[in-house]
Amino acid sequence: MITYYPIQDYGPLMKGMVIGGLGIFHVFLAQMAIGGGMLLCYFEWLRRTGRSKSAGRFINGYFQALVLVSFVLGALTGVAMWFTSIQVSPRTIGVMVEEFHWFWATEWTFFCVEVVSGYTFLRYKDRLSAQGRMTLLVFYSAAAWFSLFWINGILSFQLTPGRWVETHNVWWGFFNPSFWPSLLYRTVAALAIAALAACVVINIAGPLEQEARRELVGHASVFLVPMVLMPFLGAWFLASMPADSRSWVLGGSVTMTMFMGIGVGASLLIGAYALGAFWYMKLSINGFTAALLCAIAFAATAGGEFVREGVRKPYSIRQVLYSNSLRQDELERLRQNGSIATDPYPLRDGLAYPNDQLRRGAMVYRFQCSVCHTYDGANGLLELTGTWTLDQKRINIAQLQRTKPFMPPFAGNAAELESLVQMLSWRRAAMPRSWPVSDDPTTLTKIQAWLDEVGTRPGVELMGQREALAPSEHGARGLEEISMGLQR
Amino acid sequence: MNALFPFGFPWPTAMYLTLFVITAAIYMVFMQYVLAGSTVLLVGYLAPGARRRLEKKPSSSARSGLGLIMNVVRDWLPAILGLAITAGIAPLLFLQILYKREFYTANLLLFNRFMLLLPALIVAYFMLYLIKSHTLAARPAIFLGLVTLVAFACFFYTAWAWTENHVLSLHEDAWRNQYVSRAFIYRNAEIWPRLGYWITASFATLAVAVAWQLHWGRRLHDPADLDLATRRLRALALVGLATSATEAWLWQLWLDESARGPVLSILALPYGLLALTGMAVQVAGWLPVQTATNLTTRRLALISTGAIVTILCALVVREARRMGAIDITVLYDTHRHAAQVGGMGVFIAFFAINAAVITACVLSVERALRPLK
Repeated sequence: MITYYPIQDYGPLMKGMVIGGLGIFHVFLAQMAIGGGMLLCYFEWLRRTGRSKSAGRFINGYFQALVLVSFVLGALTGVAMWFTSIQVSPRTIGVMVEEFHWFWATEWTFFCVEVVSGYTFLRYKDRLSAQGRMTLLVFYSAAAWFSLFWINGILSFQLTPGRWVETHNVWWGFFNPSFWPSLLYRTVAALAIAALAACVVINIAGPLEQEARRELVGHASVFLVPMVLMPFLGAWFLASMPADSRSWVLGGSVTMTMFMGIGVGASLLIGAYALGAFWYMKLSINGFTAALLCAIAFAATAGGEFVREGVRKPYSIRQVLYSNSLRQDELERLRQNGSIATDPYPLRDGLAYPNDQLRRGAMVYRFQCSVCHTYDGANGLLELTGTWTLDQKRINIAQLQRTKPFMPPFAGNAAELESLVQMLSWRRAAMPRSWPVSDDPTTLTKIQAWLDEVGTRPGVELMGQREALAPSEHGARGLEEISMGLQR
Repeated sequence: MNALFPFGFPWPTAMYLTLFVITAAIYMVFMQYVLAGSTVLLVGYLAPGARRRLEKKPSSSARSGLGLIMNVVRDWLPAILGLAITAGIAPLLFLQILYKREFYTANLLLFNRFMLLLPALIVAYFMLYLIKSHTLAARPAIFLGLVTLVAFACFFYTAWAWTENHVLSLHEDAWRNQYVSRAFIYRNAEIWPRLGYWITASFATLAVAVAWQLHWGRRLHDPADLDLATRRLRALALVGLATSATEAWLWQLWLDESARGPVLSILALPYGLLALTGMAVQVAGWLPVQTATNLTTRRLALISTGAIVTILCALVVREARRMGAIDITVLYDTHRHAAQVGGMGVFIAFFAINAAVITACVLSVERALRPLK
């Protein structure tokens, strides 16, 4: 029994854009907090050992910024991520919570340490002994890193659930194939972001002399050095990905490759600047340049997160849930019984459709497509299918996993598919007041043949299986008919 | 429903219910501090009498009882809000295990509300820092009042949105209409007494929390100010307890038979009575208090125990009401499955370790501040 949820429509905005935008912002802030903790420990050590005269002033200013930006925005966007995930895919977040709630609860205990040690340091840092200050900073920084440790296992599970798929052992799911490269990569990224944020703070936090600024920037730039590991960690992460996912970012999908390029390019720019300017020549850096480098780091984060989200397709949890939140067994059942017959939520704009077939098509769109597509906004279906003939729509949707291997298989029966095709055509025709019902049994038989021929296995499994791609006799006949139709 | 909460349920359901209630109680303490604290600041800055007092004696926000309370609350609110948000994560997690479908559906139906919660809380957070800033402190109290009003409005909105969401999650019969009508707001008479209860109850929690803060820092304040503040806190607590008891009574009157059944059954009735006992303990603790010296550690511990018992038991009654609307028996399998996944041991171990770390943080500060006391 499938649980149906009320599905919201965001107009021209794709749901993934909402969660993606918020997610990138949150990850950037969270990584700044994680690296920031370690950076503060380092500066406290410099202060204690007399290696830096200005470190004390910097710590006060940086921690203030960290609290205002990271504690406030970071914590709230974290909670908002949960709410947004529910908006986009309640079933996906439901599975994740069910499977990993003890790890999430463990992460929560680290959040508590982070907040208590952080606020305690902020409030009492001037009254604490050097040892007390360092202890609080170490607690804060360890708790922040461990929060990354726990959430990293949960998030990387979505792409590479590894042996969890066979064993259903939560530890296999947590320490999955991309766990370590992802954790180490994010740690290095956190250090780099913290260093760049430090350069901004050094320039805007009070009147520091040029020499003091130069000295502090020099110390902060130490945290950029681990970036030399990024190419290796990135390659390790790529190697840990499933082959099909890897192929998207290595040219198989232009968008994925482009975002990967942005991530890599932005990281390279920062790394090159760090090596050339901060580290080797010991140059100073002004606030604008530091802010610009932070913006480039944000672009790198955005590229990386987009790729991480995108390469999971056609799944939201690989081999568990498709991106439209259906399990394989559910999809197979829906092929037989239809996907919207028991959906309790009627259309909000039901009266706008000239007939029941179009209404049914709109419900199929809402249930199966609307999580990643809009009608005529971002990733709009009317645009994507705009030049297709009726029969092209039928076969391309019936064999969706062949049309694009990162699409999930169609999860309905032939009548629902025809409804969807008619609804898209009606919308493409500027929604006229009347529209004929398409109930030709031959058409439905043809669609059924296409559905049967491709089956319900995902496209990523069909890739590389050439025999599976060979059309059956029935399907070939359908293709011939289309071909002849096109010739006519 | 035939046994005392949580004993009549299979152990996984009982475990998650207990964890939910305990973690929600921790969250409630911080949340109530924020809600009542922002109200006290608002009244303090905007009520004509209080404003006059503050404006006439610039150095004397610490010369009146209200001024002293406001200083403490203003100083601590941003940190307490941070703690409230963090504490809120755990009950939110267990809620999703317990009542996934209901919680998610209400969230989806009121999505606009939850999209707005984020900016509202961010604005409120920064307003609290602004109230603390030196720039604003030098200006007339009306400026502080306006900034506080913004923060309070954001908190009130958050409280209303959560209550509305909760009540909608209890009314499956309303989901379809709520969806089709695209209604921006879910209207149900149960929302207001519920919201009213939690807001008014928060004054009693704030009173005891601030009383502890003043007790710990008593050597830093003028004894006369402390006495005035203590009397204000007593009044705040008693008003809060009286009004929240009334709100609770109104709320149960509003419920129909099927909803009231579990609340008045063996499942929750003892907890309801215990909540009243907790209130009575608080009243008994506050009534004889006239000066700060009356607020001894022992008395404060007694009042705090009453407050904690009240919060915990009110949350159990809240769950009983939910069970009047949701057939929890159909969720037993989900809870059993959730309880079977690994990781509980890790949670327990890190809960203990991190509780020790938090204690170490507090003790290190306590040691550092000892000479000042």
